[in-house]
Amino acid sequence: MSEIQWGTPIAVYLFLAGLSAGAFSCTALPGRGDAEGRGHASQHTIALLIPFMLAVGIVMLILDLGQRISFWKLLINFRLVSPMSLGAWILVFFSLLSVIWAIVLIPERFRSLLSRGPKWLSRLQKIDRKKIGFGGSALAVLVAVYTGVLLSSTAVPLWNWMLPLLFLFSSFSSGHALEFLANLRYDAREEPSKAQSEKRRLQPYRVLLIGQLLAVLAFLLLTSLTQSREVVLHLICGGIGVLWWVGAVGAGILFPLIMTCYRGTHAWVIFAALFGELAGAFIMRWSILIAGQI
Amino acid sequence: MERWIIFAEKKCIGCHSCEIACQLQNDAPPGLRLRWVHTWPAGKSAQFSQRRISAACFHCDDPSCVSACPVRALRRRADGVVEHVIERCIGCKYCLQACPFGVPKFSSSQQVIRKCSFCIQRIDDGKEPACVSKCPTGALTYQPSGALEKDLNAYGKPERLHMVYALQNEAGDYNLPVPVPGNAVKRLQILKWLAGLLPGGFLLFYLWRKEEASKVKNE
Repeated sequence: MSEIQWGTPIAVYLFLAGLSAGAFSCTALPGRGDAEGRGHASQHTIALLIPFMLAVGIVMLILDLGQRISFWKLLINFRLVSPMSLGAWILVFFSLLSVIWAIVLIPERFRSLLSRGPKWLSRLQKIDRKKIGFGGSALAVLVAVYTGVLLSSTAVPLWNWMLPLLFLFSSFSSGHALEFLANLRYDAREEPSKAQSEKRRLQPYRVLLIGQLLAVLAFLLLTSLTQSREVVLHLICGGIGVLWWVGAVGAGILFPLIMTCYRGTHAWVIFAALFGELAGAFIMRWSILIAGQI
Repeated sequence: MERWIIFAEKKCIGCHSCEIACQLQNDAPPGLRLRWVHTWPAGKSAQFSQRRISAACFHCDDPSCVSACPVRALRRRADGVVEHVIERCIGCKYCLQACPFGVPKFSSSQQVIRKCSFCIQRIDDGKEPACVSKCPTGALTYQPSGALEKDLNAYGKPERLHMVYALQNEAGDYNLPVPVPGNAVKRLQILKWLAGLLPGGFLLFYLWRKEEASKVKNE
């Protein structure tokens, strides 16, 4: 058995980077918020959560380095051919934009606090939300895809070129799940018309879950066709196999997908499905990361 | 002018002198081998008939590790030597995942990657690499310039690896990848980006259109 060089911290980083990307692209959609362009409570919460999740992910990445205090060297080098170098820069820009996004979406009652701070803080709030949202969503796609390219541009047989697509769908669907989770709490307080709009949002979420399921199948098929049997068996059999089928596929894709087809389900079942989706997204990355190195 | 190390299996007696010389020259931490001798039994009498290989970094012509390194700690010199600058290494282990031969090793005591340096300090001083100089049978030879002999049949020669292996059996019998793998980082990398970015673009377009439509309905 080979030594695992990239372990759980890297899986956490891949998950949080993907989740942040998906959550950003979800909160930046033009229909989120009210007619005056102000976001509602769940949007504020997620916008504040994204820089925090990114910070935790980046700390995980740094903790995994052999020379932790030398992480800054990533920021004085730019190498187009190295996905890690390219990804570090994408992440820097995405992190900056996510902080700006959090400031732009800060709730009305806290805006007076900003006006007491430096002038640039108040100026940031006047930037067109749609432009930041669109730019950030494009960067979010790059972040989600980069995590897949990072793994697939190696000599590890399991990490094939389907990973960018798989991680993209997983990031977007987990981002949507996070928003639904935040809405579970806030919708109860807001007007009933929100429930109708939530139903409409279920359709794209379902499309994302179906896309993720198809990407999983394509990933397994490509691995089986191009690699030896052992490579795919490491992922789908044994302890990792149980986690893969029950956690990544069952809880992460199938359970939420089935739940989107039912109306009037209890809130706790929906909560379980959405939480399952998030846990599944993490387990999927962890299983692929570890099974590839065995 | 390119440099080469040639391993001739028929001359190797499996004495591990090259391994020890390498450890001492490169001050490698205990348990971490930058050169290693592998032996496998061949035929019925395993004691007298063995397959052997003295392996180290292959110093590829287009090295995956160099492409992967985000901080330029690995670089390919004009003479074909793949150099690792320890002071620059941040220990991200990406080269380790990228190398198709599994050559770079992570030193847990030094918290950086270690690999065969081709003894660049020695060869720049006009000496042979330590492993070659200590090989008692001439199984390892150093060619400091020019092209390899035309009639030399060695693993990695056509692919211009700078550590080549003249073996007595098929390369697969020595756990060497066949065919000789190319650069794993560069290979189809654009396709991998496109495989994610194109669907990503469509997905964003779909979600934005859907949301715009939903917003109009709400209003």
